[in-house]
Amino acid sequence: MELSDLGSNLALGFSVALTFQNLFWCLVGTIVGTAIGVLPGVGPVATMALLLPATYYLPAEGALIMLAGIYYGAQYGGSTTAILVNLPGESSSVITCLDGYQMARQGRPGPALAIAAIGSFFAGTVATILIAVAAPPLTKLAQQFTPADYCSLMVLGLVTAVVMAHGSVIKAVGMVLLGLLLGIVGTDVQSGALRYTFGVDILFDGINFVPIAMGVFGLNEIMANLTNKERRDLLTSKVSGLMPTMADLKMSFGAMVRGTGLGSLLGILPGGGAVLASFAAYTLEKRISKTPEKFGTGMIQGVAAPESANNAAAQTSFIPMLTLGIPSNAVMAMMVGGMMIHGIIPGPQVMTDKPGLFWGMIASMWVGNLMLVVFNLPLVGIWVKMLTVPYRLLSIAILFFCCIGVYSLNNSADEVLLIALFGVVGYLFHKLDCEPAPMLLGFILGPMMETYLRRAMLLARGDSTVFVTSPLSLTFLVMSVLMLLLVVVPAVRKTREKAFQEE
Amino acid sequence: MSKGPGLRSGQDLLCGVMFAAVGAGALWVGRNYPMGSPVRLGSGVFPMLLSYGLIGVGAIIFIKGLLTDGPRLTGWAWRPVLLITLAAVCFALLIEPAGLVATMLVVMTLGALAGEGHKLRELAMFMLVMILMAIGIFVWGLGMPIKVFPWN
Repeated sequence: MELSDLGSNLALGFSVALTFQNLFWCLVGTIVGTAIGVLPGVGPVATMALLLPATYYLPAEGALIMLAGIYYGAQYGGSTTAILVNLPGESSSVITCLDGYQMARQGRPGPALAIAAIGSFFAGTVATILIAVAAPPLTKLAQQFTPADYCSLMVLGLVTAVVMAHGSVIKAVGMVLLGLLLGIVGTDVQSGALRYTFGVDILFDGINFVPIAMGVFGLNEIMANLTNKERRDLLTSKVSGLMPTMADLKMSFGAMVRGTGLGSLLGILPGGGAVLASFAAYTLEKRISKTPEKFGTGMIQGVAAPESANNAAAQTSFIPMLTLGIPSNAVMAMMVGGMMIHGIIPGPQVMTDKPGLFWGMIASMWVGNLMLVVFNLPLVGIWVKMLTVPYRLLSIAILFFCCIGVYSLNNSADEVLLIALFGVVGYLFHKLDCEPAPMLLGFILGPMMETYLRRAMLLARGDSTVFVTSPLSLTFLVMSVLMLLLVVVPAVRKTREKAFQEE
Repeated sequence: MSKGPGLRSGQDLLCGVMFAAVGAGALWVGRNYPMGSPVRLGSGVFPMLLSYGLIGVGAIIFIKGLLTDGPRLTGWAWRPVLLITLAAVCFALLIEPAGLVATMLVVMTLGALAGEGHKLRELAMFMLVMILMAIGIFVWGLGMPIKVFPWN
């Protein structure tokens, strides 16, 4: 790609991102994101689901900029709670508790928070550039995909989501299939036939994404969290001496770079994302350190690496969604939901049809990261105060916002009944140890996959070998099989289980 | 919940049954969906593939539950589950006839009953703030067509 293209693309992006209105939505997104990141038990998926209906009232750019801000803002917020309270505010900050909290106990909460923020900002900057560089060629590649290639790519995406899901692989496969099935409920676009509607008229247009997401993530989270007793030991409400010393910066620079690299890579992989990235980065630092035994006692690298990695991954996970239209995790599924509310069909055509939106969103990520690093540290006091709001009250607020959010979508009381249903279903999944994220991905991809399957068969005149004769499609399928094999092979399975157990 | 000696993983068994039952149900409901031809796949093909997939996955999980030890089923926290569900159902039933304020009082009271350790004063203040905020955001701000009071 031409360097001048990159320049003009980014210039276009910044011209969109820096309008007063979009700056405002970016700020709202990052602040909301930080807030929910700080609060344990409130995740970005549920929050984005909550705010999806509200984005209906915003212009498309503002809506997507705000939703994106929530995701990476949450990565910043999560570390604050991890360091000060030894509780992961966000699941991607679990590992930051280990050394971050120890640093705080040794009277150095300031440098820990600062390094987390600086590392995140560094990672955010690199990841933004990476997206800007990688998106155009990937988009060009995607435009040459045949329907068969697309179909196989979706299989690959779903398989990776399955492999990367926590816990049982076979259960994740089941959840994906369940999601695909839920996705095709309603009127079949090709034949007009009604499928699985049971004569219920709100199902004729298919199940709406928002009630499913809010039920399975929002209500279910309340049900599950209210049964867990929570304990918040706030170490200190006063954070002084924010600035890390030169020695701190020097020690953590390498960790930041490695964390950013690893995180960027893991973020792009379908099914990957912030959680996996932070674990991998921490493990890497520990492995290459000369003093691995000191990890867990307040090593600054143990904060810098995972915090850089989770922010990098949070941002690069936009790449497959923006270029191929395939969401790689539940948060990206929410972004797709946000696009569809505004009538934008995600895929390679977004970049060419709506360059302002596309580049504006990318530029806004850097702007948002800058806002976070500038505002966040001075505001630590406020975030800490927020932790004194007990979950028993917070849960009531979430409950109400879930209900009114779904209702506001179509002014349909019936859809609120759907979230009640999916709330219970979500709790059943929780009890059976079935992760809902793969189901959500299947749900989004279901209709797309069926359409591409049909188109591929039509173009191949009914010859199903097209999936293995097209080189790209074959590559994707072989990769999917390899991935599944990898998980089934006992040695790999053991390390995978070990990696997830450390949580 | 206690399990008999034959049941090694209640969680896996139930999970297997769930997936297989959904698959079988989907297969039965979709039994008359047209299959079309290989060139023009009918609306029944994709659901059929998924249904068989679910039945297969369910069977594997079930068998795994029979053969290997795994986590048992733990009891449900009925109180929050029922009360939160009931709250959402009440919202659906009340919002149009009774308006925002009455609905919120009912929904938030049910939500409070689902949690523990509430203090009456704190809760009352919280509800008041929430109601004022909701009117501000949803009725005035977003202009949603909902009644504030039952008699509006």
